Amino acid sequence: MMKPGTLIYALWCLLVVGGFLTAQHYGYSPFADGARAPGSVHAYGPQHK
Amino acid sequence: MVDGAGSSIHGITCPACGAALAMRAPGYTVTLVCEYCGSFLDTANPDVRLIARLEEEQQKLEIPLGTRGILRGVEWQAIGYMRRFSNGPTWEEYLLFNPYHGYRWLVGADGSWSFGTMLTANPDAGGTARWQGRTYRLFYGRAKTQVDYVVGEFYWRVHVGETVITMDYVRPGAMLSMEENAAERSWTLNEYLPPGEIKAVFPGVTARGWRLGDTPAPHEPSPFARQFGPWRNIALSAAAVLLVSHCTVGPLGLVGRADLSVVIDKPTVTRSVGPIQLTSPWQGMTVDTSTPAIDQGWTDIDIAFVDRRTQERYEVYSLNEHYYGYDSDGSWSEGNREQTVKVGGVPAGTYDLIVEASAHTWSNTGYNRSGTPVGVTVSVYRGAVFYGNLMLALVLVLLPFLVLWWLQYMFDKARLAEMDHAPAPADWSRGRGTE
Repeated sequence: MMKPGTLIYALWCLLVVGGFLTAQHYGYSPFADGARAPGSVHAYGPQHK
Repeated sequence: MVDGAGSSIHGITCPACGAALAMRAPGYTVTLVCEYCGSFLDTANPDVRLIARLEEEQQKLEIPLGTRGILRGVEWQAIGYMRRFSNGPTWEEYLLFNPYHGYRWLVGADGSWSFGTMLTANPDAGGTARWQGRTYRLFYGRAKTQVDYVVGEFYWRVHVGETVITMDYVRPGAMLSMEENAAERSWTLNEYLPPGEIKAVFPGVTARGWRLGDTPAPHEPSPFARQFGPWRNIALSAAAVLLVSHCTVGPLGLVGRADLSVVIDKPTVTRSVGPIQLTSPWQGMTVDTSTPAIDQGWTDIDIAFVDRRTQERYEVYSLNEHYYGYDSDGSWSEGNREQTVKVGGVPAGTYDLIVEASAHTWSNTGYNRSGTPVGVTVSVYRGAVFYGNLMLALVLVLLPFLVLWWLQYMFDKARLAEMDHAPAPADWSRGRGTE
């Protein structure tokens, strides 16, 4: 029988690994040098496709 | 089925103070110490004889004599109490009795309790002791132990000041205690009682588990030892998943490149490259910038990925610089002409790569390169390796395990500090939970 503390630790590790894989899937990192520019969207050229 | 303890109680009168006393183990009790005046009575014969007259104020016991409780499936009655000491430490021992099971000991010290059973054979003892296939490690060497206070019934002629030689061997959860006097040597197996178990039977006792800063009982099982193995396996498994998945990502290929030439201390140069097609739903982007000709100055490079449909910008900045000189310590140089920067969370789409670059000279050197052209190369790769993500995830996974490891270390350190023969520093980890 798994002790409650061990179960909580296993769930915590699952959460961390899940978060890591999710961030990896989205190419996200809080440590990235650059990201989506905050604030307004700057027009740069026509939006015509 | 629960046995009935003390089913035949005999009443006697203390010849010293006249108090009515209950003898709970008649036929077995040899000595009875009056609960009211502390006088020692000889109860071996029907006519109770006064051995020693005392008029002491009796101390209040956490387990009043006569209290019954079911411990390890048998109902026991506390019939005697004595306090003993040895080279400083003091502990208390309650003598428990059940007419069908005989005597047991309830031993308490600093809130830790043990259930003691007298052995009918001698263990093999030396540097270690072996009993029923288990090895016990010597914890307290030979020491004089003396009775300090006594009250109630005993099966031998006990008295204050009675001295024996004791030795204690331990393993997690149990202590083998040897007592020796001129006449005999006896052994007792003391099984550690968790605080919850003893409190459930005798609610009045002071019982506590180990807390950081306390000294655990010599045979107190580590509260962390049983978790250590599973936690280590969980931590290693999680770390392995993180490392393997981290190795599966990386820059997947060059998707754009911009070459431009900027002139030092002249206006910013802008270059647009595109379209860049990003087909994965989400991705990181890796940008390598190179300014091989920059010297004694720096280049500001602003890079933006602009989504043609939404005009959303994903920006990153690169500072490429290089300086050198001489001082009293000799020549020095600093800065990098090449940089790698990463952009996170870029969705699929058609992008333009916008590069804005300007170069500047460090005028303090007197080496003015204003007007000199500097080439700037920006290479863009789809995909990015974020080591920070891996480091953060590893820390979050391993930190609780390291805290557990540290608590285990502190517990063993505190426990072994009381040992007569201090172990080698490496022993604590080897002996974790398996001593």
